Order: sequence, then structure tokens, then C-alpha cells
Amino acid sequence: MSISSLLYVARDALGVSQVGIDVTGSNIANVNTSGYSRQRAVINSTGGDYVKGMVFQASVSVDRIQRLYDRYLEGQMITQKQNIGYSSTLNDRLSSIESIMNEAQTGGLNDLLNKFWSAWENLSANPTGPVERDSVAAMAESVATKLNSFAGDLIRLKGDIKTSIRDIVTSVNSMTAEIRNLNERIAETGVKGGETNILSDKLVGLLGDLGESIGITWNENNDGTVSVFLQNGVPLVERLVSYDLQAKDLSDRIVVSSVKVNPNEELNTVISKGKLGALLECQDEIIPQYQKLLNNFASSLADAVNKVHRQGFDINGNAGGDFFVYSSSNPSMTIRLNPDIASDLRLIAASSTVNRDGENAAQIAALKDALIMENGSATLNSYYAAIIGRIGREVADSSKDLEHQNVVLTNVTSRRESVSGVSIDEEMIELMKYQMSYAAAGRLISVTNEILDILMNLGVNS
Amino acid sequence: MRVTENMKFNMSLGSLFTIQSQYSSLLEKMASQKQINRPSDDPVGITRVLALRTQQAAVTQYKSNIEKCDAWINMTETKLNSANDLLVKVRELALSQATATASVDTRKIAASQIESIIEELRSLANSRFEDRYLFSGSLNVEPFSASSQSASIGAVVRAEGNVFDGTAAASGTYTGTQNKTYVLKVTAGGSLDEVKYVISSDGGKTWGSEQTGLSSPVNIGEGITLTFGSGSKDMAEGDIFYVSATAAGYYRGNGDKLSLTISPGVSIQYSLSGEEIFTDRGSGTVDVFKVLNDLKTALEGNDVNTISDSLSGIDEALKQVSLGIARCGTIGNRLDIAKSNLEELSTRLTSSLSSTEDADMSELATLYSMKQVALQACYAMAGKLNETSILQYLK
Repeated sequence: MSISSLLYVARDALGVSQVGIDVTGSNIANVNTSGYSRQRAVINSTGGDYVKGMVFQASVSVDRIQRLYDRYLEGQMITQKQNIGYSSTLNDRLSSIESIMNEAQTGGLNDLLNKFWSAWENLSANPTGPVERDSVAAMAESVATKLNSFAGDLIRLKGDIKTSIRDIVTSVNSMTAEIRNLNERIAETGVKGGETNILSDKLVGLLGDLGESIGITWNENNDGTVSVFLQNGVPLVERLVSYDLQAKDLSDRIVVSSVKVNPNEELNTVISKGKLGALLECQDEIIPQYQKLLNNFASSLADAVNKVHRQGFDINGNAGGDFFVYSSSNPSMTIRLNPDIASDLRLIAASSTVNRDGENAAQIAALKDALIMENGSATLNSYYAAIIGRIGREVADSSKDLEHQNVVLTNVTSRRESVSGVSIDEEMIELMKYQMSYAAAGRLISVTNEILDILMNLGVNS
Repeated sequence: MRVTENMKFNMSLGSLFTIQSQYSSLLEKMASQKQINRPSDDPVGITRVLALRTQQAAVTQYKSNIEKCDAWINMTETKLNSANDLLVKVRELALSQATATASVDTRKIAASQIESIIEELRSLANSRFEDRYLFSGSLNVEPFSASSQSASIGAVVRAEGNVFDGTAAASGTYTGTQNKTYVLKVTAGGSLDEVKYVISSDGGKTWGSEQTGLSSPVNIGEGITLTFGSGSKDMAEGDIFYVSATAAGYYRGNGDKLSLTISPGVSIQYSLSGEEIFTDRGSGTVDVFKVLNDLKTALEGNDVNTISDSLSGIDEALKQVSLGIARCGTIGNRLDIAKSNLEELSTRLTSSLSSTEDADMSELATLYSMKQVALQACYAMAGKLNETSILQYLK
């Protein structure tokens, strides 16, 4: 072993310490970067020398830069993001429906309906009174207008959801394209034997974002690239190929399908997670369901009142006509007071005889207690109250679910942080460690130098 | 477990958010004083609240209906009491004029007194409440005429919406004892030969069986005959013709009664028809105005026998009116019972509604201060996060 080789050892030691400080520096710099996994320089001793027949490791080198992560936790993060995306979007949209039909304050449809029945009672007490007739017509119009505005708001909400679906499909397509790009770079770097730590971090981050938007399954290939599929196996990315989704607008709903796999196969029911899953569920199930309930309410109200109204007589002695009119394709949107009645209040058939009594009005008022909904088990008022109870329960359930999913996410995030997160305390200690080893290596150089000096001056008179 | 800076910050941020959202929901409840601010706050509660509000609105309406009935029945009772007083006076007069001490002259004076009493009684019987006659049944016409009319059949009235433009006439002699409105409703249009129709004798409440053909005069009941002549337009479904038939006597109203709903599913007939109180039709036994007019004629004619005979009629009339007063009392009682039931129900509803919907302020205030302490603790903790780091000790 030569003295000059000591200089090489010292050089290696300096270099390794420097890399150590570099890696620590990059960890500290990325302490707040989301999705960043901390890195470590993996150091190994190298070379060997024979001293009296014994081999000892002489020098040191950086083997590789290791990315510290737990594959299982990364997977859990992506799964949990799918759940969060679904729950938070569903909660958000359901709350919008709830705020449309907020009956907790007075002045909602329930109150208007009560006033409508009262107006008929008052008319029955004074069947020829113009004021009483006017108030029946006014309350009927209020009830109809309220139903129209509910129906209109639901349609607008659906329109918003359609826009969101289109936006998300576009962003899913750009994310799958980006995953494909990353796959390409990872494959390329892998072939050249380079490090893919940062690329892998990016990939995991993208998978999380993608999962938040749409339910996915994925697997990692041998070369570090990933393939991503929808829940039923329709591919989004297969290594170096990405498959775009398309959103086709069928006027009342949007149908999502895969352009390359089969543009005619509807994927709406397959996508049940992520934001898109929640939006499709709102579009295809939840909103139509409330529209159906409201339509049923509106048509039942109109039919029941019309039936009794037709049995009565108006002031002129004519048999009563329809009180409400609506188009059967969308009752809640189109229900309104018969325009003939609106323009001539004498046409309200308050009497059960041609003698202008008020009995028919009393019979219409009695509809409020009539069990005409749900196969004769509910009144109109209680049917509507059940609709309100239902939206309330759905929102409450989804809020609870969201709360739960958030707790799980916090938990998984903490565990991931625990493995992959940067601890400042730890990095400071690492820094001190490498600083010290750097100083020691420097010291080694100066000692070697001194030894060489002594050697060079041997036999020289000073 | 390895604890990183991010974990510490996330945790402190997470608990801050949680407590702040609970804090703001408490603030909302305190500001609105309501436990339920949106349906999802209590889905079961909101259904109950809506049901209670509906019940409450109904109760308010029933109460207002009862007020109306009450006012009507009080008015009726007052009028009947005055009528009773008048009839008592008539009885005294008849009694005194039936004796031998009375003379032609006193009877003449009595006759003029009776005449003014008749006028007064007629105005009582024709009195109105707001814009409806108290004693005209469901018809809103002046119920008692000044002189006795013979039985009559009114002109055929066509409903305004009728299509038919041919002629329609009523003829015959009305044989019925009560005033009625006959209605003919076309159920299937067509020429007079093929037209189908139904007839109602109670103004359109109930209908007879369907019949065909109106080309020849039809007897629709109790002596009324309708004759139609075709015009340029045939009859259409829904065409309505009606005829008022009036029996002989003073009364022009009908025997129907007015009703209003006073509690769920319960309606009350709150009016008394002039028929039952002042006439011999329906449940009445004597025609009060006929008795009085006969008495007046007898007084004028100095017909002592008829005068004393009229006493039994007057007694019957008094009985009829007192029966009416008693009925007012019964109706009033029913109204009172219904009213006190509703009052009780209303109180119960209000308290149920309040316990479901209103916030308990003392509980909220306690929770509020608890959350405040928690929130302050959270802030204090967040403030100290930086103090525990190795950086504090590195020089």
C-alpha cells in the first residue's frame, strides 16, 4: 500500500461526503413537496489491499441513491384518493340538491301547499267572494311556480354536472397521456441504467390524481412503467400506449366511452369511483330519481285537484274544467294554473251545485288529508316531506362517509409520511454527520500531505 | 414511529379545521336558534317538522273556520231571539183580541200592529251576515217575499259555456213542496234525437240515470217539462241547463245548509235554513208568515173564531223558532268543544315543533364555551410546533 493511494481514499471519502450532503440538501429542499419520497445515499466500501496477506476494504463509493417508500402504502394512498374524490364530489352535489329544496326555513313548498289548502277552505266559507277566489288562484300559482323552479334548478344542476363530466374526461385524457410519457422516460432511463426516483415519485403522484378523478386499477411492470385500467379492465394506459376516453352528449345525459377500445360501449355504470364516478351517479341516478319524485308529486296534485274540480260548478253554472294543467312528459316543470282560470276567476268550481254553494271547495281542501300517494298510504304533504327527508338523509350519509374517508386518508398519509416524509431533525443530523466525515477526509489529506512532506525531506539538510 | 415535520403540521391543521367546523355549526345554531338548519341536520326531524307545520297550518285554518261559524251562529241566535220576542207579542195580541172585551176597533189597531210585526219579522228573516242571507239555505237570494207567491217554474238558464244554441223552454205546474233547482247535464253530445243526458233535482249534487233523446218535451220531475228546439249547433257534452222551481208560499230559498270543516275530517252544518224555521216544509210544521197574515186578515175582518184558532198556529211557530234557538245552542256547543280541542292540540303541536326544531340555548352555550377552549388549545399547540426542533439547539 502506497502513501499516495491514501490521497485517493481521501478523495473518495470527500466525494462521498459531498454526495451525502447533496442528498440531504435535496431532502431539506423538498420538505414541503407533496408526493416527494426522501432519499438516501447508499454507501459501500470499495477496492481492496493486501497487507501481510490480509485483505481490507480500502476506499468508499456511492452505490446508488435510494428512494425510501412503501409500495403498499403508495397503493393505499391512490385507492383512498379514489374514495375521497367520490365522496367529496357526491357530498358537494347532494348538498346542492338539498339547498334547492331547503324546507328547514319557512316559506318552502310545504308552507305554500298549506296556504293553498287554507285558501280553498276560505273559499268554501265564501264561495262567491272575489278576494277568496283570487287568493286560491294566487296560491295555486305560487305552488306551481315553486315546483317549476325546483324542476328548473334540478335541470340546471344536471347541466353543471354535464360540464364537469366533460372537464374531468378531458383532464383524465391529459393525465393518461402524461403517464404514457413518464412510462417512456422510465423505460428509456432504465435501459441506460439511470436513476428513476424522481420519475417514480411523479408517476405515483399522477396515479393519485388520476384515481381522484376516476376509479382505476394499475400494475407496475418489470421495467418500472405502469399500466392503468378502469375497474372493469378497459385500459387507460398500457405501458407506452394511452387510450383516450370520450364524453358523448346525448342532450339529457353524457355517455363516457373509450375511443380506441369500443366507442359504443357505455362506461357510465363501470366508473363508480373518483369524482367522475360521483358525477355520473348524480347524472344517471340521483337527479333523475328526484325529478321522478317531484314529477309524481306534481302530477298527483294536479290530477287529484282536477278530479274534484271537474265535479263542481263555477259561478256561471258551468261544470268545472281542469284546475291545473301540465304536460305529462315533465309535470313538475310544466304544471301551472289553467290559464283560462287565471284570466277569469269565476271559472273556479267552488260549488257542488249550480246554486253557488262552497261545498266543492271544501272537498278540494279536504284533499290535504286524503291518502292518495304511495298506494293510499300517504298524503300529498307527507309524500313531499318524505322527499325532503330523503335528500336530508342522503346528504347526512354522504357527509358521514366523507368524514370517515378523510380520517382514513389522514391515517394513510401519516403512515406514508412516516416512511417517506422528510424529517428536519433527521436531515440536520445527517448533515452534521456528513459535515464531520467531510472534515475528517480533509484532515486525512493534510495528514497525508505532511507524511509526504516528511518523506520528501528525508536526508535534506535544512 | 418516525415522526416528520409534515405530520406535525398536518395534524395540527387537521384538528384546527375539525374544531373550527364544529365551532361554526354551533354558531349557526345559536344565531338561527334552530336545531335543524337544513334537512341533513336531522333527516328524521325535518320530516316531523314538516308534518307538524302542516298540522299547525290546518289547525289555524280550522280555528278561523270555527270563528266564522261562531259569528254566524251568534248572529242567527240573536235574530231568532228577536223573532221569538215578536211571536210572544203576537201571541199576547191574539190572546187579548180573542176575548169578548176586545172590539172591532181594538182588533183593527191590533191588525195594524201585527202588520208592522210581520214587516219586522220579515226583515229579521231576511237579514244578512256579511254578504250572505242567514236563512236562504245554499241559495243566496232574499229568502222571504212580502206576499205569498204561487208555485212557479223559472225560465231555463243555460250555463255560459254551453255549445247548444237552439231554444230551451220550461213549462208545466210545479207540484213539489220544496224549492228546488233542477239541472239537466248533457253526457254525450249530438242531435236532439241522440243526445244523452242526466238529471239532478238537487242542483247538481246527485244525478239520476242516463237517458237518451230530447227531441220531444221531457218531464224532468214534479210537473216540470222541458222543451228543446234544435239550432245551428248541436248539444255537446257538458252543456248544462237548469230551472228553479219554487213551491207556493213566502219562501224563496232552499232547504240546504252551509257547512265548514272544523277539525280533521269533521264538518259542521252551521246554518239553519229558513225552510225549517219559518215554513211548513221540510222539518217545519207551520208557515209562520201564513199564520201571521191569516191572523191579520182575521183581525181586520173581526173574525173571533179564526183569531182564537190561530193561537195554536202561533204556538207551533213559537215552538219552531225556539227549536231553532236550541239548535243554535247545540251548534255553539259543538263549536266550543271543537275549539277547546284545537287549542289543546295547537299547544301540543307548538311544543312538539319547538322540541324538534328549536335549539336548546343553554346546551349550545355550554358546548360553545367547550369548543372555544378546544380551539384556543389548538392555536396554542400550533404556536409551539416550531419550538421543538433540533434547530433550536444547533449553533
